[in-house]
Amino acid sequence: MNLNRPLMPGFLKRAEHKLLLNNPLIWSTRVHLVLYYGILFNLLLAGICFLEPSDLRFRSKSMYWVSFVIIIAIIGLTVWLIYLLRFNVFKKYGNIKPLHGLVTFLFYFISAGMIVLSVFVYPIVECVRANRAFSDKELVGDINTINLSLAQLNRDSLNIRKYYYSDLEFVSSYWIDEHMRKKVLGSDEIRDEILRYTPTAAELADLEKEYYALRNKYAGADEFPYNNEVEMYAWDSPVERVRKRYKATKMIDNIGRITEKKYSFSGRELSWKIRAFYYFTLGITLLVFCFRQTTVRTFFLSLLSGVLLGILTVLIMAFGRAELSTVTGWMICYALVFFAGSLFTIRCNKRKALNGIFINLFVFIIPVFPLLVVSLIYELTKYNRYKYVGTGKSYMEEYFRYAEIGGPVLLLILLATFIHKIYRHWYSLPEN
Amino acid sequence: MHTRIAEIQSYLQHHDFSLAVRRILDASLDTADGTLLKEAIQVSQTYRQYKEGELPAAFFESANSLLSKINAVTERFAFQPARLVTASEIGKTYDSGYFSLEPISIQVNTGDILGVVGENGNGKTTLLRCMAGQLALSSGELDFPLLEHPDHYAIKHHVAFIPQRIPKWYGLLKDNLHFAAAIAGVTGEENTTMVDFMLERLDLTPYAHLTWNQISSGYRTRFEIARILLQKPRLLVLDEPLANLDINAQQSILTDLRFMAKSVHNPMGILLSSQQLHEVEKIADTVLLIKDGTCLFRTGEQEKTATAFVIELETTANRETLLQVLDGKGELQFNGGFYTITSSKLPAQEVLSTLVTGSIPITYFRDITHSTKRFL
Repeated sequence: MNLNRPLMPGFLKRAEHKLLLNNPLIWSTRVHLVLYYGILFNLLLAGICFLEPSDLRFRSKSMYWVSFVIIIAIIGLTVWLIYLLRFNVFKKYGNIKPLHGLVTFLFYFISAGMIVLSVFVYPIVECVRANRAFSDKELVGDINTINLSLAQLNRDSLNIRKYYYSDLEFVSSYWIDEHMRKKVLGSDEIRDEILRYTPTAAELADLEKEYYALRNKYAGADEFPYNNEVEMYAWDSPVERVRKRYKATKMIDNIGRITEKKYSFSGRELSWKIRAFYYFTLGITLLVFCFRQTTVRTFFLSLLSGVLLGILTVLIMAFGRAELSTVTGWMICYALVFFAGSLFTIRCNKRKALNGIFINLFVFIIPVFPLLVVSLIYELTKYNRYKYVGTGKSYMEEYFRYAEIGGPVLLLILLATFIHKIYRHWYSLPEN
Repeated sequence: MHTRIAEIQSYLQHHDFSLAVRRILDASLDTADGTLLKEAIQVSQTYRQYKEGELPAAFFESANSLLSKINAVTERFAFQPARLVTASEIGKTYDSGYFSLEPISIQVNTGDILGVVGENGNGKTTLLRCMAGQLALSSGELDFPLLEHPDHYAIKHHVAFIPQRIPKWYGLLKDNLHFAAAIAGVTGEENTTMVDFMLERLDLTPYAHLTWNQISSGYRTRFEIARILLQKPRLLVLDEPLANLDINAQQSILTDLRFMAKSVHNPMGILLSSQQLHEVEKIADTVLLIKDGTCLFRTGEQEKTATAFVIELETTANRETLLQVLDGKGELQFNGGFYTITSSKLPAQEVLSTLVTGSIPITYFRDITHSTKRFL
């Protein structure tokens, strides 16, 4: 084998040759090459991102990096497809096992996932850098110190009194509390702390010094104020006035940015990012899978049919002023029609594009089918729930989660049992 | 000594080295012994290395040594023909209705070569595509008795179709061959050996590390045949395989196909279409002449019904001289290049004798009494 691929080590060349001779299915998917080059690229990218001289206190550059990496990922995807489309065990009527469809799909998913993953490298590195630079304890401690210092320094102007609520969160605890174990002090706790002890003038001077040290830490030594800090307005709240007087806005913004970076892969943010990764990867995988199992003409006709069906549905819904339940109902009907069309292929003795389109669209709709069903149930029962059991939101959210997991599980089961067989039958049928 | 081995030794003695090496490769494959096959590949490689000059003594030693080893296991050469595919009254009418293939019945056994000849646009490719399971039949049925549960995928796995316009290959040619063997279940070291064997057998080794764009159309056909053969098909369907080949390559490929069809290792039936009537007739067991979608003539059956002797002649003599020599014993037709002499009285040998006696200068002579050529 004459392999002159750049940066390809000896072990990979040997593995490549061994796969070609012994496992043409894996070899033809090129998953080994995508994994190797993908890991290599992602490590290189991570290294560059680590070395990038960006200040974590300032606005994130992830938008630029992500846009740049998306271009690279599209190029990578194209190169993968060029190599992938050269060899196809299925279309050459080679020996295939019953789990061929499932295994092929999984290899495509891994390959597409590796390419999509590169888009997340910069945000991950940024998150790691932010966590390394600012620990939870340090950040919470600093926020509490800032809030206490500013409250103590302005206790008279803020009119802090017992049993009297006033907003004392100069740096907000919103979003930070969600992720940190050690909590940021709330307004009541700050008030109690202020009322517990009255500092001397010397102590107040020390507090002021401490505040400015922290402000320099987060806002930089730059004394240039934000535009909105130049003038005081009559409608400014006491807390806002203190912020302006002590030029705290930039510091507060920067703390917010640090927090945003630190927790960009925690809690809800993480679940949304996982979803973005999963759905992008799934979409690419399904496209590649369908393309590899059907004729070129049928594949593009399927895409066209999907788009036209989408447009038609939206138009009907718009003109009919349909509710979401009607839309999901229609989508479920489509899924059932696609399933019936696919099933009918078994009885065909000629390869027709229409059957191929039904199979492709069925494969595309399966992963979201459980979601559609749950969504329809949710829409149909929401009024009853509001009436009798409150909003029932968390109760249904759980079902949505199950449906989201159930979709791919259903797809994998059908790939192993039904879809592979139906593609095998349809593709090998004689043409008219 | 087995007749096959004696035949190969005779080739070696008479310096037909190329043929001898190809037959050694075939014989070693039929032994189903990997070691012998590797030795045969080695013999072939040695021949290729020295074929332009004088072959070294080592070549003859290794060839003879190998032949002795093969001779010891010649009981493996037993070939049992089996019924491969039966097409009963298959017909095809396209939806557009512009062409219709009238019902034809064909049977192909392992080891058989069935040639389909005819002019362009008369239904050769349609018939071949029907037989390969690529086109849905309008009438009749195909039966593959060797396949236990013949679904369409299994049929297409066992029936290989090589179209006239071969689709482009991507990547290295050798990788394609390894892939073809691997998807047919030939894995590991056997895969390497079989690919090397096929490259040597079809004289493709020097081109194995090239790409599709770097080889001529003739070699593309040969590579495609190599690829298909590595997939071990039961029925090989070739549409105009000779179209891109030079005259020597045509002879060589047809002879190879003849031997490969009867291979003990992978006996197969071959169905091929061609415009090269004489070449196809030389190697085919049966030849079908298709005209306007109908089987006009089938060798082996209808040839006995020939009522006259027909010969094809190329000469510088004019029509009058020829008619004078034939003396009313034959009819003469001239197509601009050849004369066709049809005689119910004189067999071909006697026509030739008469022409020679009459001092007619003959540059080309062929007896086409039993050939499909007489219908064209």
